[in-house]
Amino acid sequence: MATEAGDGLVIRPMDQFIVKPLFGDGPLMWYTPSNTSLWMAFSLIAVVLLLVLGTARRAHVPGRMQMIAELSYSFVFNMVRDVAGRDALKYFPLIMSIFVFVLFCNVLGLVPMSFTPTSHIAVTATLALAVFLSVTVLGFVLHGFGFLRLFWISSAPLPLRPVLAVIEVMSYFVRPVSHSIRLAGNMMAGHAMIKVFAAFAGVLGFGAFLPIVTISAVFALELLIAFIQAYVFTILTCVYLRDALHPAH
Amino acid sequence: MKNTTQSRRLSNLGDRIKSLQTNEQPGFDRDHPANQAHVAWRMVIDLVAGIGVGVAVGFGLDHLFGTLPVLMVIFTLTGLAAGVNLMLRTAKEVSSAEREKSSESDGANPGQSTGQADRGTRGDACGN
Repeated sequence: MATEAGDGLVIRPMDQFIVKPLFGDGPLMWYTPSNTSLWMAFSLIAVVLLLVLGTARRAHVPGRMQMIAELSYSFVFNMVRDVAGRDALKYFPLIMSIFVFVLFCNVLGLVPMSFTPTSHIAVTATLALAVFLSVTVLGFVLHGFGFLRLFWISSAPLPLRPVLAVIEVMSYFVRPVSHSIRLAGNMMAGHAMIKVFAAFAGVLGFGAFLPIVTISAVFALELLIAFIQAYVFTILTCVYLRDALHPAH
Repeated sequence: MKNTTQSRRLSNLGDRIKSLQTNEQPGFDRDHPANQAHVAWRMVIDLVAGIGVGVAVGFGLDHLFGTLPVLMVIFTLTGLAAGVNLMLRTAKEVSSAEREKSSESDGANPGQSTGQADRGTRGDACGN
């Protein structure tokens, strides 16, 4: 993305995040097939390939694909059980879907020339809002107005409780914001960094030894971050779910 | 004669399997310091997002009621408090996971026989 313009080096690390329609240059409506929806579709296809086709043979001695599918299943299963408790296992399908979707969006975004849907706050905020709304509705359905005990800290002295309740309510509304910013910010920062170093390499030409080494290192780090951020997104979903299931402190 | 060598080989095999099982760490190592960086990021982002939400809510309400600086100041401070609250909660979660881990490693030897079933859960409990 770097071009040697007349007055020096021009780096456009953010150009990779522009949402473009796939066909033509028309206006971008919510139904327009764009690069975001294309790569989200790719990650869904990859999920189906791994989890449905990979385990279709149901071998007693699993092959590589089935092994990966089973490992990711038990990874999320253990996470839900340990963080949110046994009674949260009913909601395991939701959490597993979120995990594999975010993971594949992150990892497929590392393919060169691809697009990372999870680098857009619009995508991560939708996911975080889905989690926030479903967890809040679930809390009210399970506990009625008793769910509001989540904000009423009974271990604190009585005069302090209203103040703490305000802070707790505020914290509750901060959570989806930080939940979405964290994922999008991490994805965007790493990709922009790779692009900047790639621009250096493009300018240096054959002497670009150092930028290429750096890109390789950052790429490895990005692969780790792609996984860790999917993990963090999922584990925080579990934490919120636990609050909805057991609102009393 | 043959029997004793066979039983010795069998017990050797058993030892090898046991040592491999205890060394095995499937998945990635969540206790590694590099993989705990997300906890620090979580705290920082919670703090900043708290202030941001506070400013936004305060400014919106001010805009609605026409009392510009008052509610914004109040809600910014509330947002800061909310961010610190989330930070402290994360710290509490981490420290309780640490305590759980250390108490488990103190009592690890008697629990060795059930290690097979527990190992998966123990590793995950430390990650939050």
